[in-house]
Amino acid sequence: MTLEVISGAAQISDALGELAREVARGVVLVRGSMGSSGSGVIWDQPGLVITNHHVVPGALAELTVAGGRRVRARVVRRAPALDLAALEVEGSLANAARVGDSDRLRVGDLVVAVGNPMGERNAPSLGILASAADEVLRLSITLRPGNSGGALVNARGEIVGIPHMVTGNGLALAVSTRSVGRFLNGATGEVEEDHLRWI
Amino acid sequence: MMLVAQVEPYTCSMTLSDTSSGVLATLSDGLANAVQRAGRSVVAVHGRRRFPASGLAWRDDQVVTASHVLERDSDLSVTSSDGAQHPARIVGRDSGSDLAVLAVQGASLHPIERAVGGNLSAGHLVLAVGRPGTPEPIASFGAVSSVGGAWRTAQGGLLEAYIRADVALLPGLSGGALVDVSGNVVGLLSAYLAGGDPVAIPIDTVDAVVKRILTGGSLRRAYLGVSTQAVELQDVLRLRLGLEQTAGLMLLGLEPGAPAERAGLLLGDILLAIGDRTVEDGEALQMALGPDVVGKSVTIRLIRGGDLREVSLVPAPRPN
Repeated sequence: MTLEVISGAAQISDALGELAREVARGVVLVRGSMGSSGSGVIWDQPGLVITNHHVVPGALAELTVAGGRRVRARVVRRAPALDLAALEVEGSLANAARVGDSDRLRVGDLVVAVGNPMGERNAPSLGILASAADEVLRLSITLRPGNSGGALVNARGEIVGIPHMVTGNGLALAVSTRSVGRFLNGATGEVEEDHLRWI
Repeated sequence: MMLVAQVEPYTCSMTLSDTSSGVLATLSDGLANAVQRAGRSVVAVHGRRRFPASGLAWRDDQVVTASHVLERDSDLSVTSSDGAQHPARIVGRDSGSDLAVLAVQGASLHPIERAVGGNLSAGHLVLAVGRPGTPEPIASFGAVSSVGGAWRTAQGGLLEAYIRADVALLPGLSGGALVDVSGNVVGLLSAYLAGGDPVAIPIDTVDAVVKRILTGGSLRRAYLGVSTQAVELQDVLRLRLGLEQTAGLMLLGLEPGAPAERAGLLLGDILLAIGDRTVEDGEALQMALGPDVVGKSVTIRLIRGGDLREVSLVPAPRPN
């Protein structure tokens, strides 16, 4: 094996490590009011965290952010059909994720999921986009319970989806950021509360 | 109602270094390009009731696919990467190696580009690429787990080699391509040969089977019409007969009219070798009864009544 091959592989490995660490700063541990737990992503608007509907069955949740600080959050919008929920915290959170365009993904593009599978904090999984990008992204990746609601990023570290379902051995689905965009723009979803302070 | 309108863009703090971003973007583009490149030569094969499976454009008017995805013999078609659907017919198939060749008259398919050099080994990154009736190819990603030699498939076929890889088996990937990171085809995927585990037949082995199918050569394995039990040979017997092998196969049953009975084999005979292959267990017997010995006279070495004997017989093709 040539030195070039080894250093090329090492570069990729180091880059994945850096990517996982950086993305993890914007991923929170979500504990729902009914004993559920999963992950959430600090979105690029103050006080907003996106997770899966099924991670937060109740109205309230507790978030653990990078560094271990715990904050209370409430569900302000949910769309069960998309499996999305928007959480609001008091004030704002640092380390927001960079949101990318899921429609620009090609089949075979590298994706990394960062979440809290089985309660393990910020565990990365490596995979690819398995079929053409749509409302839901089909992935060749190994995910476990607790990855739900976390970050799915492209090779540039931009959020392209929210992992929400395991469909087979090494296969999973994520809600695309296209769907999250529609959800946040009010095109879908049910408003949980009457007054939304961020309007 | 707008949930988050009129909010100033929030400052994102994720800072991936240019180097890392570049390295990973290059890898990502490389993988996506490999899928696109291989995808030109991966077609959808319509030959079963559920969703379609995949196939490889072997020539511009010929497709090789997994035999098990053809659940009917007629009303077959393939959809090429440009979306055109063409009627197809079976030229030949071999269920033991789970391969079938389809003629696609009038099509101008884009034949696969094969990986050159046989240096694929455990740890190499690979992609599984299929097209189960979708406009875009589908793909899964993993590493080669092992590359091995001759093996007997779950269907009783004998194949020269195999590739195992930890690629996820998306529905409809059977008949598709296992490709290297450049998009060159290293094998044909089957979810059937190894009982649901992802396994690929190396492209050179596919080539050999396709050639046999196209030249009408028999792919049916040889048949003696015996049931056997492996037995250890007593040391005293081995010493007296000058044998190195420590076990043989005792005949417990003989099918009336089958080659073994017709050649005069008797219950209690202990088979030692078929041609130049020693048979110490049932697996070795199966390996010795490949398609190459069908219809040819072979010498069987055996022990009868404590003495060595040789009997010639002609194995028949295995009944279906």
